[in-house]
Amino acid sequence: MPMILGTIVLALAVLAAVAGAFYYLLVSRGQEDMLPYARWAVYALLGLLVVASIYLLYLILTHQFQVAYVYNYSSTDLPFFYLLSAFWAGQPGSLLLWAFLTAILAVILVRQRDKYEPQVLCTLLLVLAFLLVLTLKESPFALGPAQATEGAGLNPLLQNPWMVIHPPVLFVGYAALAIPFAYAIAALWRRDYEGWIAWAWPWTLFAWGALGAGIALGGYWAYETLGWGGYWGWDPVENSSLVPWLTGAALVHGLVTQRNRGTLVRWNLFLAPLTFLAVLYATFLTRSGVLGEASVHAFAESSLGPFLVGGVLLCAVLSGWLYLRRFREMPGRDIYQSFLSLDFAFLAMVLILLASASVVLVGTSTPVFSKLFGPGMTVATSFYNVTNAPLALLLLLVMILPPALLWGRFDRDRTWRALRWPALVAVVVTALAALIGARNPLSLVYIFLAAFAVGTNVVMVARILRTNVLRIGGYLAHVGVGLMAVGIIGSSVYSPQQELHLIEGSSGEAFGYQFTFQGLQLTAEDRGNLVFHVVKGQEFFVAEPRLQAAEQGLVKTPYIRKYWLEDLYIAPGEYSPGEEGAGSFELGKGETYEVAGYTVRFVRFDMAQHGGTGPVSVGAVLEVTTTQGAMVVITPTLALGTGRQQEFPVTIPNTPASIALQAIDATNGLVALALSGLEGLPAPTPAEATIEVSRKPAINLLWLGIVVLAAGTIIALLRRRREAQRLVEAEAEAAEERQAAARRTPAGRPRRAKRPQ
Amino acid sequence: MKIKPTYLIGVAIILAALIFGFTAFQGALTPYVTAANVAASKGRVQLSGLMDGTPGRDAAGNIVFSLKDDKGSSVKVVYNGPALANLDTATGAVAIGQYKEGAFHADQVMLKCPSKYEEQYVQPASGQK
Repeated sequence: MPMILGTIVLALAVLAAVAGAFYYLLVSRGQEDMLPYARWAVYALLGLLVVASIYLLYLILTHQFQVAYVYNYSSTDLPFFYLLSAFWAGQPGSLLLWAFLTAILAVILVRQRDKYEPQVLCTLLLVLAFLLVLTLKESPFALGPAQATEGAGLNPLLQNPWMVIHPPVLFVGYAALAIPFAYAIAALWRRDYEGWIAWAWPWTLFAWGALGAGIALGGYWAYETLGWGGYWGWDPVENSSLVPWLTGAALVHGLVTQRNRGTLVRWNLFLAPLTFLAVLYATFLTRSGVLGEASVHAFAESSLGPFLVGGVLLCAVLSGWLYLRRFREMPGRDIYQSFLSLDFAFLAMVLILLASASVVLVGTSTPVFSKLFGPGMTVATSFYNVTNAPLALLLLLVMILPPALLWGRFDRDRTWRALRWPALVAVVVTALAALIGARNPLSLVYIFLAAFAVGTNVVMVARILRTNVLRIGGYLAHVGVGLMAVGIIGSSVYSPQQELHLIEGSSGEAFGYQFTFQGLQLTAEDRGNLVFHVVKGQEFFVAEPRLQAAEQGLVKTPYIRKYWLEDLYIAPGEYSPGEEGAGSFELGKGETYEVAGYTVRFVRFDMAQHGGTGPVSVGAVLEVTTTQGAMVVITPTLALGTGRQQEFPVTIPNTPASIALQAIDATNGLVALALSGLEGLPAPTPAEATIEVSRKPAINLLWLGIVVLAAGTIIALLRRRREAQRLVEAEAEAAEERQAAARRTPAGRPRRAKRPQ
Repeated sequence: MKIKPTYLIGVAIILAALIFGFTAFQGALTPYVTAANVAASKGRVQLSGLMDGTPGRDAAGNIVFSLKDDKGSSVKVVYNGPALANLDTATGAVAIGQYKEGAFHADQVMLKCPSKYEEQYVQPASGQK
C-alpha cells in the first residue's frame, strides 16, 4: 500500500514537472496563453510533494516498519526530533527533501513574476523532474520486511541536535543553487546577458549562505561529537560540498564586479552553471558509491550511479553548448586597467577561489578517475593543506585591499589613509601573538594578514554604518573570514596534545590540569561516561567524555571545557573495564561470605566519624573468622571527600590478609569489600582509561568568524533583495504603461510576442 | 603585436602555480594495494583488506594485525599510533603507510566494523555522515 500510494504521488509529480516545463517552453516561444497552465503545474507539483512528504513523515512517526526506509532509519524508542531527522537520514528521504525544497523555491519564483519566469522555471522544473526520477528509482516508500515490529534505529552519530538541522540546511543550499543556474540559462536563452544578475543575486547569496551554514554546522558537529579533535578532515563528503561553496563565492564576487563595472559578464554566466554542476557532481560522488573504497564512510551501494552520471553529463553538455553558442554575443569588456584597482582585486579573488575549488575537486575526484586508467589511487589529505595554504595567503592579502582601492583608478592618498592604522594594529596583534607563544613564522604571517584584513574592513564597516547599514555586508563578511583564519591557525598549528593513561582512582596531569579517573558511569540511555575529576588551582570540574557502544562500533564523544580564549578538548580513547579479584564481594547487613578460608560477616555501618570537618568517613563493622578459627572484629573505613574517595583497609590480626571497604550503597544497605594480601588469590585489576587531552586556542574566533560571515551574507542578501524588489515595482509600472499605450493605439501589437506565428 | 611584460609575469606565475600544484599532487598520490601486491609497492600506499586472525601488540607496544585479500594472501600490519577502538571486532581495515622489510608500517588506520547498518533490508546507510 505505501509503495503504491507513494509511487503514484511521485509519478504524478514527475508528470507535473515535465508538463510545467513543457508549458513554460511554449510560453517562452510566444504562446503566452499557456502561462496559467504552466503555473498551475508548479502549484500542483508542490501540492504533490507536500503530500508525499507528509505521507513519509506519517509512516515514520507511526512506525510503519514494513516500509524499508522507516525500518532502516528509525525505531520506536527514538524521540520526536530524531524521528523527524530520520526523514533525511538516508538517501531516498534526503532526495525527497531536496525535491520538496526545490518545489517551494519554484513556487516563490512563480510569485516573483519577473520577465525571466518562463525560461527560469522551465530549467528549474527539468532539474526537479530529474530529482524526482531519482527519488522514484530509490523510493523512500519501497517495502521492507513484512513482519518487522522494530526498526534498525538511527545511527547514534546522527542522534545529535546539530545533525537534525545540518542536512536540511545543506539541502536548502543545494536546492537554491539551482536558481542562479536557472537565471544564467534564462539569460543565455533570451540573449539578455546583463539583466539577470539583479534577480539571481539575492538567490545566489541565499543559496551560498545556506550551503555555507550547512557546511559550518557539519564542522561544528564533527568537533563536538566525533572526538578526533577537528572540525574539518578533507573527507570526500565535506570536500564535495566545499567545491560549490567556493565557486559560489567566486560568483558572488563576479556579480559585484558586473554590477559596478559591467565586466565579468562572461565569467558570471559561466560561474553560475558551474556552481550548480558542482552540486550535481557532489551528489554523484557521495551518492553513487564510487568512493566506496576511498573512504571508510558508509557510502551507499546505490543504483543511482548511471542516473547521476547521466544527469551531470547532460547538464554540463547542454549548458556548455548554450554557453559556447552565445559566447561571441556576450559583452566582453576589458576587465581591468590598473593592477591597483578594485577591478583587479575582484578578478584576483575570483581566480583564487576557483583555484582552490579546482584543487579540492581534483583531489576528491582522484579515486574516481584513477580507476579509469588503472589501479585506483587516492590522495593524502596533506595535498589539500599544502595547496590551499598559499591560496589562503593570497586570499587574505586580497581581502585587505577593498577598503583601500577604487574601481578603475588608483588613488595613492586614499590607499595610504585606509591602510596605515590597520597595518599598525596588525603589527601589534602579530607581536602580541608572538609574545603569547605563536612562534612559527609562517603562521605569524597568516595572523598578520588576517589581522590586517580584519582591521581595514572593520574601519570600513564603522564608516559606512552611519550612512547605510545595508552596504556593510561584504566588508563584514571579510571581517568574519579574517577572524576564522586566526581561529583556524590557533586551533590547528598551536594545539598541543597529550595522552593520559589512567587506572581507576589514579591521577595524571596534562597542561596543568590534574585528572583523576573515577570510573565508568552508565547513564540512563546506556551510554558510558568516563568520569574524571579535574582540578587546576581553584578550578574544579567533572569531565565526562562518553563512550557509546553501538553495533557499528564505539561512538566516542569528547568532553569540551570551554573558555573564552581556548577549549580544553578531552577525547575518550580506550577503556578496559578491569576485573574484580576473587577477593571482591558485596554484602548486605548480616550476610556472610566465604573466601579462601575466611568468613566475613557484615554487622553494621559505623557512622561514628560523622560530623567534624574534613571528609566524611564511613566504616563497615565486620566479623571475620580466620583460617585458624579465631574471630576478630575489624572496621575498614572509606573517606568520602569532594572529588575522590579514599579507602582505609584494615589488616586482619595475625594474618597477611587485609580487607578494604571500597564502596557503600546506602539505599540498599550494601557494602563492597575486597580481601587482599593472600597468595593465590587473583588480585583485582582496576579499570583503565585512555584520554587524549588537547588545547584548542582561539577556536572561538573560528565560530565567531563564521557568525560574522553569516551576518555579512544576510545583510548583503537583504540589500540585493531590496534592489530586486525595486526592479519588480519598476517592471510593473512599465508594464502598466505599455498596456495603457496599447489601449490608446488599438492596432499596437503586444511587445513580447517576438515571433510571428 | 607587442606582448606586455606583465602578461609574461602572469604566465610565469600561473606556470609556477601549476607545477607546484602538480608536485604536491604527485607527492600525495596514494595508490590502493592489496595483500597480494603490497610487497611490490613503493612509497606511501593505501592497503585495504579483511582482518586475518586476532590483533595483538608486539614487544615495542605497536598494534599488530594481519590483513588478507579475497585470494588468501596476507600481510602483517604494524601500527604505532593512538589505540584503536573496536580493533577486536573489526572485519576489515584500510591502512595507509609504507611496506618495508616484510611488514606494512601504517601511520593511519581506519577500521571497518560490522554494522547493523550494513545488513539493511534494501540499502545500506547513505553517504550522509
